[in-house]
Amino acid sequence: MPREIITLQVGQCGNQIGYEFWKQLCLEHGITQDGLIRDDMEVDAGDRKDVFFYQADDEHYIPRAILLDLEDRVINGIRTGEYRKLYNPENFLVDTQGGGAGNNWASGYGQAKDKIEDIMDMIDREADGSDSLEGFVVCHSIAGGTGSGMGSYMLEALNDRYSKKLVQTYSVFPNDGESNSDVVVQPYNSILTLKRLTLEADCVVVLDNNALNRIATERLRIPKPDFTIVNGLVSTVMAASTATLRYPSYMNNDLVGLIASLIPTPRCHFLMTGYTPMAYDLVERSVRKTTVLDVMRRLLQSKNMMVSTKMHSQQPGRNPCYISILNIIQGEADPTQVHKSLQRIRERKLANFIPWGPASIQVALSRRSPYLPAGGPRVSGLLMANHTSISSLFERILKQFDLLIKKKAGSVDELKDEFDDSREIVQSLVQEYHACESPNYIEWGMQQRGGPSD
Amino acid sequence: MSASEFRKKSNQRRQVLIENLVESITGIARNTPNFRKAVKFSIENIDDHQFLSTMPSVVDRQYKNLLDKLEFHSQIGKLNALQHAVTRLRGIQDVTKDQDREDFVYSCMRFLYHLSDRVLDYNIDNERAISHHRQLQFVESVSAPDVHDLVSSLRSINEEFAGDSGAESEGTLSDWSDEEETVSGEKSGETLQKETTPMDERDECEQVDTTSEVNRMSTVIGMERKHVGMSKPVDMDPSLGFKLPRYVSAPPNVPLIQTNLAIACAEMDEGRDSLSLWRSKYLISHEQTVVQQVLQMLAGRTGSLFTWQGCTCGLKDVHVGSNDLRSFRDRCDGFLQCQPVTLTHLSPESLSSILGKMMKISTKLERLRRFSRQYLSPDSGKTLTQQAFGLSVSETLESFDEIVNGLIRTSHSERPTLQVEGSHTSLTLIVVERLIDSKVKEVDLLTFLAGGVSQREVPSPSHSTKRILDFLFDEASMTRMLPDEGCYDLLHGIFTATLRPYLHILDHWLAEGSLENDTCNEFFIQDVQVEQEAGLSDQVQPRTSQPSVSRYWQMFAIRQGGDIVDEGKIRSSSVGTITISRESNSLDDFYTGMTITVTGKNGKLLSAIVKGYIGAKRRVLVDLEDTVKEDCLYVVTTVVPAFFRPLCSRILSAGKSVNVLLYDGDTKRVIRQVLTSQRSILSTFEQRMKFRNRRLRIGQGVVQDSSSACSAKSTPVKSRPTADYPSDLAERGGGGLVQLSWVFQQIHASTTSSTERVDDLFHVHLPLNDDMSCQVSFPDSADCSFSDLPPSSLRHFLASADDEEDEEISEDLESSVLPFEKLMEEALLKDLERRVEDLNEELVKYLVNKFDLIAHLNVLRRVYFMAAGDVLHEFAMHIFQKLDRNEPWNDPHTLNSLLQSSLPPSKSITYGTISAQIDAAQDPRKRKSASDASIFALDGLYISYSVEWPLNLIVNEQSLKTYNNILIFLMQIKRAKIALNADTHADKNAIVKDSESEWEMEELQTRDRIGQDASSAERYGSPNTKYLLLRAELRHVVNNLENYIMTQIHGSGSVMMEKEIRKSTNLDQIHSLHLRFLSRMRDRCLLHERAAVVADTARKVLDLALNFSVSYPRYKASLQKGEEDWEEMREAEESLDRVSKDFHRCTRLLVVVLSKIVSRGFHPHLEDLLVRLSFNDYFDASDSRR
Repeated sequence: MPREIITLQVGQCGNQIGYEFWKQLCLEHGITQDGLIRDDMEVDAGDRKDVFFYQADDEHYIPRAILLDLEDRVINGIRTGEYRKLYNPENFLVDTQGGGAGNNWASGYGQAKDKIEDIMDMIDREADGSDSLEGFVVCHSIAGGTGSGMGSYMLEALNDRYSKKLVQTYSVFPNDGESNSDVVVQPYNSILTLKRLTLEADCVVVLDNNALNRIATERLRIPKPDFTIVNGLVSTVMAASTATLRYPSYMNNDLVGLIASLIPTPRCHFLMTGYTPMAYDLVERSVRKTTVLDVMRRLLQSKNMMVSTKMHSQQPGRNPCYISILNIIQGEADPTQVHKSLQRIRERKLANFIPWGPASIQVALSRRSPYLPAGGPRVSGLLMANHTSISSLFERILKQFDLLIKKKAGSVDELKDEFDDSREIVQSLVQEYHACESPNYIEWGMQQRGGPSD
Repeated sequence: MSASEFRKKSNQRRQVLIENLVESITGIARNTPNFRKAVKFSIENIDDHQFLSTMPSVVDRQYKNLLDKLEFHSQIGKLNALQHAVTRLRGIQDVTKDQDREDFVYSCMRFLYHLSDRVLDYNIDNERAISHHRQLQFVESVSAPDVHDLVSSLRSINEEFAGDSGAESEGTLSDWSDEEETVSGEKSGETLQKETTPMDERDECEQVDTTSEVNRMSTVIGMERKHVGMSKPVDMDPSLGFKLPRYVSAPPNVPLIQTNLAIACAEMDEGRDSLSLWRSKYLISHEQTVVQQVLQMLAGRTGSLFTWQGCTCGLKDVHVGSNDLRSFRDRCDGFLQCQPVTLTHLSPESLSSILGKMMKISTKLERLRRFSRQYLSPDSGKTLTQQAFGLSVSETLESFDEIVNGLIRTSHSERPTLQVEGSHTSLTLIVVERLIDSKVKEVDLLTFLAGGVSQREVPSPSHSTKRILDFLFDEASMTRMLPDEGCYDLLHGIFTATLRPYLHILDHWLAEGSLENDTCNEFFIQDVQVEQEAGLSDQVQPRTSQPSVSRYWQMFAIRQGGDIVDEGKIRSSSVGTITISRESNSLDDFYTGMTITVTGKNGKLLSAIVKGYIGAKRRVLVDLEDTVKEDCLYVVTTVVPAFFRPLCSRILSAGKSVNVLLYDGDTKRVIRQVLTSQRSILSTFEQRMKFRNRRLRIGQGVVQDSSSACSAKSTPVKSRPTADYPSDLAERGGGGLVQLSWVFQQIHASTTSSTERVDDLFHVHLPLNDDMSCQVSFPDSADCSFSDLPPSSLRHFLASADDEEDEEISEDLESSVLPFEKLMEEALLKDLERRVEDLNEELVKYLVNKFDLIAHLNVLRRVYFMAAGDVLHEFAMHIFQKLDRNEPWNDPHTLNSLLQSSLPPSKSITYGTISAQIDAAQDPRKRKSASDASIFALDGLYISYSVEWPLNLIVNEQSLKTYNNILIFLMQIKRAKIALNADTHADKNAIVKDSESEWEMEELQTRDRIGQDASSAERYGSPNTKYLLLRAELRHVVNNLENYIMTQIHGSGSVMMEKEIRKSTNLDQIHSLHLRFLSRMRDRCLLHERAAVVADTARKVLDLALNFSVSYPRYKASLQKGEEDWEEMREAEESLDRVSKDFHRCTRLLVVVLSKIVSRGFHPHLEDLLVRLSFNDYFDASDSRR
């Protein structure tokens, strides 16, 4: 019984990520650019293609993907690219004017509202084509216009229409207010989207442009990484995080299992990820021994995280810690090593966990796709972690937002209430993460709510 | 294509398939009228029944598998034989009694001979194998009852054809019937059906050869299944509750069929009318008469059934054997006349078949009785061996007669009943059949043996004896190799009984040197002598001689008791003629150019004896410098029993240089100068002779009576008293054998240490060559000069020794004095064990490669450990849903169809050979906690998994139980996990609701600020964080339990098992590996009873998780409704608090118990669970908090 997942790619960034993601999935499932099964390999992969694909009448595989954008550049690229035959042409939605959202959240949100009928048609069609739809995956960035605005609206719409389905997002967070940022109103967009991510999504995998660039330059040794490189990183993470769904074993073979074990309280559902070994590391693999312990230890290093946060804060009163960790180890991992690795990590206190509840590193062993060319790393690992330091990201955005508000940049008046509301929710999210660091988290809800009455 | 065309085409196709089947089943050649008849009959039959699936793909697929199976069978047969050998060899030490020992030695020798010669190269004839496969496959590919119909029909056709198509079809049919028995025996469900199907009567083959073939083949195919048992059981911890595993699949439990049908019939009719009553009673008495007649016939007495005037009471008359008996009627000697016989509870066919069978048996019995009488009668001129054989046959028959006589006595009683298998049954024809059934095989065997023994005229008694012994030995060893204990015991008994006189002669010959016991001239030596007489005079051809130079030969001749007759011609009464010829004139060198030819009956005799096992041999007479050479090829009829040849060869040729055996025809005295061999057998006799009061002391005899005509030798002891000869033996005058072996030890020692001594010692042997053409004597007088022996003689000696046998003289002669047991062990055990190992490896390869053992184990893991995500997922989800909804879930039909559909098709896994069913809720625990909401609701689930032989040797019931236990536990965990995750999607809604409720709350607070119930504020104030955390804790424990089992225990365990299985070298090992894996899995999944505390706590946690998942949504719902549902909320809250309390108690217990266990180091694997559970020391800390 497949537990299908429908992917929504929203905006320029979302579609670029999605493109790379599907490329990776095709590779891992032995599907050609035309959606056919590769006939040069006779493998009994035992994989579950139907989580992300379905089969057309002529047996070729079609992604359960819906591609949304308000400008046609990226989507046209996909339509004319090598994978043009893969997608269902009915699942493209591009604004006919092609004007885009102009980096304006409100524009994206508004245009989405206008087009929601068409979009919902597509989603309903895909949902009806599934036996037991488990949820949606949304890829987008929160800085631009389409990804944030349209993405926000889609989150609301999905939650409205499919309230019993899970919604997981892969959200790319912007660079921190540096001069190279081309979008001035990025903090506005971010804060407004963050509200929806907090309220409407079950799980947000945070991907931070800073960190991605940092990894590309530091780990991959590429001085000026372009989008393809960065998107490749994202697609690697996305593919690895869904590996247990596509190559099922007894454990973690559904999305809910993954999410539930990582997210103890609903609001704290922003996850950071880490991956090792990176492509560049592979060059040095001749001198490297990739054992389970090795992979698990590397995954806990902040340089491998796809989010730039201060995991070891010097701030007084702060004690950033892991709420939960899930390691997905792919490849020829020796199960007997898992225990030893856990023991070692525990002894060396490599991971600092919450004080208010039980927590441990969960390890899921997954097969490596037999379709992948040989010569990859023997063992590779993905970390998905719920860490309180993610709040620093939100704090940064809040700070930028406050600065921008102070400057009164852009037209803020019509959205004032929305801004206030969003800011409050993000602020409270930050507070909740802070509260998570103390042993008294259990009383936090009471205090917080008790607050107004005092 | 029109419908009719289509039908026509498909009919054509079907006909081809049916023809193929008929060909493979009956073995009748195509294009014969019989074949056409058979096909026609089959098609009609099939049309009637509409049953047969003739899909070629099915047939093809099964072929391959069956070939493998057959090969596996034969390998296991071999393995059994070898292991038996090893066991027996190892058990040699235990044999203490003289007589047993003797038997045992012989059986061992026979055994070994056979092993070396045949077994190890034994392979099943390919064609035959294929025909068996076809039959086996056929039976398996179609449904059984129908097959019985078709098969019996085909058989009946075949029997009709038996007259024309002859032995070919007969043989195949017999094979078939045996085959069928094997197959149906496996399927115990069909047993009853088989018993009541009259067609199943075995077609007894009249031709003895075919019968024996059938027996053999059926042994190959079928019987071995019952003997697949390995010698050593797998060690298991008995506390685990495992029984010792047995490979033996239990023999089909054949219930005694309903035998008192006639009586039952009578009783049923009793209430009706007097006519039926009379009829029934008449029928009973009628059957009794028939039974009596049959028994009389079996006992070989007059008044047989077929002269008996049967009933004429107006019932439907049936002619016995209208068809069936016709074919063999002609061959039955005595019982020719068929008379009408009727019985109500037997169909005419069954009746005729039973009676036919009885007739056949009684014919055979009669023949056997005549045979044994003939062989036992004193004036028949049979040899002792023949008499012994006849005696053993008649003894076997007596046991049969006892049974028959017992039955006759019973049949004469008022209401004949007897106790069979614990229950009283009346004596009916079927009971008689069943009772003598066990003996039928013996009778067949005896008939076969008698046929084999009595065949052909032979030139002499010794030939006859040889033939009988060879024949029996072959049969016995063949049966031994194909383990059918019944046959083997019988054959073994007959063989040993028959061999006894021969052994007696042999023994006497060896011990006493006489053939007094050989009254019938059947001993092989006798025969040679007889043949020898004619050629004697021709051989005596003196040549030039120079007696003056031959001190040695003078001595020799004197020692022979002869005298020098003429120049160069030495006559010896005991040796025959010895001729010394000299070509050279040189007087200096004694040996130069001298040819020594020894002819005469004794010389020939000796050669012949040796050649008895070689058949033909070159005899070389050489001078020492190769100047003169005489060759002659010497062909001798083989009269030594084949199995005895190795022994003879040992006796006669092992000594190589001085093996001298003289025979004096007049006095019938054998003088033996045996040199001990370097090998085992001889030393056996050595020991036996020691037992016989050391009578064979040739040396002693010489010392005491030096003028005796006997050839004798004196030992070097006499001439070299300084040698360090064991004093006690020397005092006894030196038991010949012991002395000789000592001599050879000395020889050997000298060879290796000092060439000088070698020279000295080898003087003794100089004049010999290995052909034993002449006797050598050890000179005991000092005037024999050997110092002038040229070194070349040594070379010659050694060279000739090498020629004679493969074994070199330098071989460890010391071993010659090792006891038999040691020798057997040293010489054979290693080799046998190596072969056992080889075979075992072969079997393992078969199991792993051909039968995909590992793939099957993987399937098991996928199913029972739910290792491959989807497998069983749907099945489990279905059950969980039903349980959650409180619906009945254990409907076996639904579960089965679900189970089947949840096994995904896969290229690499052969699901085709497995079938998984569910015996759902066989034993649902009727206890309080077993309600559907409880975690224990699944306890009654049982999933069975059946695999074909030979995989079921590994995957047996016992292991399936363990698999099931683990499965249930895993499903419980899964259920808890799914329940906990069920409402995850509701979380995000809760966030919205939370924020809404915040506003509501504020409104509420502003509205009712005065008089606000503090508790309600608190209730709203801490809505569900507490319970969310509780849920997180529950999830943590459940997830980690799952992680622990799946990653740590299952993952690593199965990886290790697969590795080990691939490395393992025998079946036992694989079996124990699998069991060990399972028991480890079970222990580590906390299912061992010693871990009951932990397991119970874990289950309790799972149960709490379920409780939580029920209460929490209620709580949330009531929370949303607010005041409206106050009570409900309170209840839910209470229940959640209870869960929380229990949970914390349980986790505390769990952590404490685990820490204690781990700190004591009892179960290292539990440390992993502990590490996972309290990774951040939360539970420990919370302990202290509490």
